[in-house]
Amino acid sequence: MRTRGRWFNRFLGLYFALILLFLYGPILVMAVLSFQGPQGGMTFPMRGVGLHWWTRLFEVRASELQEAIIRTLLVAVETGAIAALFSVVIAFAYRRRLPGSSALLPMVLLALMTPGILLGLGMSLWWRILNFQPGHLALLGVHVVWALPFAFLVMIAVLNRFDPRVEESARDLGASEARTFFEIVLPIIWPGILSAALFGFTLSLNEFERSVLVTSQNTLPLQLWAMLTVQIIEPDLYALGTLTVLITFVIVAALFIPTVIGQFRRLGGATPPSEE
Amino acid sequence: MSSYSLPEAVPAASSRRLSGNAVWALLLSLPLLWLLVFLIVPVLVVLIVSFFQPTLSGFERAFTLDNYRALLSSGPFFSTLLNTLLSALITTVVTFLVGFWVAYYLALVVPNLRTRFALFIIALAPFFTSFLIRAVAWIPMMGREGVLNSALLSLGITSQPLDFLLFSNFAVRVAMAQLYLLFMISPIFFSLSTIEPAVLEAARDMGARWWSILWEILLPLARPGIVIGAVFVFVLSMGDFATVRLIGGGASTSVGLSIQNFVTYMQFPQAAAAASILVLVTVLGVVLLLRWGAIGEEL
Repeated sequence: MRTRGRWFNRFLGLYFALILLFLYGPILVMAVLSFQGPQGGMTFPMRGVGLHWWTRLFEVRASELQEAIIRTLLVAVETGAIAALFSVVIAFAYRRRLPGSSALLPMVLLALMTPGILLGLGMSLWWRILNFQPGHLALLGVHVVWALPFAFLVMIAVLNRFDPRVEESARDLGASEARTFFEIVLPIIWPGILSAALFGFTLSLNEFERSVLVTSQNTLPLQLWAMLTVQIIEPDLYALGTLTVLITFVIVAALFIPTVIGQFRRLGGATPPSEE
Repeated sequence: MSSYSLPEAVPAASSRRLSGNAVWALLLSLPLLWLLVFLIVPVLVVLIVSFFQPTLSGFERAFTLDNYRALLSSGPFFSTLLNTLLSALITTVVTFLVGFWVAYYLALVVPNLRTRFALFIIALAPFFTSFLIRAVAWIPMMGREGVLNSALLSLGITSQPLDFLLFSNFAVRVAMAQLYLLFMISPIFFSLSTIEPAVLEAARDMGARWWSILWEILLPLARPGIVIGAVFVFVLSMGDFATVRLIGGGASTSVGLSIQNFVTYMQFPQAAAAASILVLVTVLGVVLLLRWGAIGEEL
């Protein structure tokens, strides 16, 4: 029994490695192929090795993509900020069982479950009925809807770890509601708010399905889609893809590494049962 | 230091504690309004427009059932719907069969909490990258001259490149399973993580076999996570169109792709009707899944 269990666990370790290969393999292949020589195509074999497509990306494509990149970053920053702000409000209201918070929860769930193409279609039709120009606001609207559930989950997790006695004692010592919030609560949950914002930023940065019908001004993913479906694709696309993946991984690392280390410190490096 | 994030709260709330709740209600109306304008109304608009009369450049506000009639009597649309449903079901089942063991490994086998979180995040990270890029990255893997075909050829498993690896329903389903796998792993991982190791130890001490622990303890306790994961993957793959377009080439279809095509030809009411049918079928599937989850709790 015991030994069989150990063999099974070892097998699962191998299995997990294979799954990681399944998840990362395509990305790695893409990254390798982006270093093709000038004659290289979209698949193996490699025809020479070099930075040809990367230089092409930065010298030729960059000017073409510049506007889209700036627009994407702007929307992503706004989405992160708004989603973080909203998630704080909703999470706090939910924790205090304020009226209205019970109505918000199903809506947040709906935001998570609504297929992107449906939301995009609805948004474009709704703007058409209102005679509004499709553009920035509509795009920001659906991006926040997409990012909000994730930001909310982050905030709920943060507030669950937040000790309500801290808040109570501040109030008992005579601090006003606002003072308690700004001087006690906010400094403690600040990292959580930041990760909610970064979550939103990353999701917006890469969002495609909701955006495609909503705006006529291309964001980076929309530009990519146009390149993929209309133009003949070349390995500089792989370079672009590799670059965005790298940027995303840096953000994810920034998001999670402090959390993991914090978790580790709090537990004093011991390995107790996995209770959160 | 941080007074800029909620500036409107300061003057109202600093005076009296009683007004605290009023401030929160006011603040709460912002996300409520946002979700109303950018989520609820758009979804309702789709439903409404699906009953409008199509015109050459858009729609006329005249009630009609023709959009639905045309779609439901069209053979191609029906087979598209069936194909979408089949792809979603296959993807859901495959991600469960594959993902459960990943969650099991992370939650129950990896002993060290730090390693567990680190591995989970490593598995989670690709989810944050661009969906399109990950779909594109399948092309050099699965194509005629792709990595997989070259490997199969050089190992002598096949004598010719396999064409069904790219631009086929099969390819779409494999890619979708990869793209959505994390939505299955995460909730199962979280529900397995809440299980007390003592429970498993007790079962083991009482002489329970490995499979009866799995069947009678782990699966029932993980059921909420499994249901949530299944709902996620099912809904996402029902609405998918980018994977179908990029990986399927012209050889695979989905309702999402039809919607996009309708919009390209300015056929908005038809697009809205197709979307409404898609939502109806998706909601039915979700209700069935949730009911299955609830039955498990009663037993």
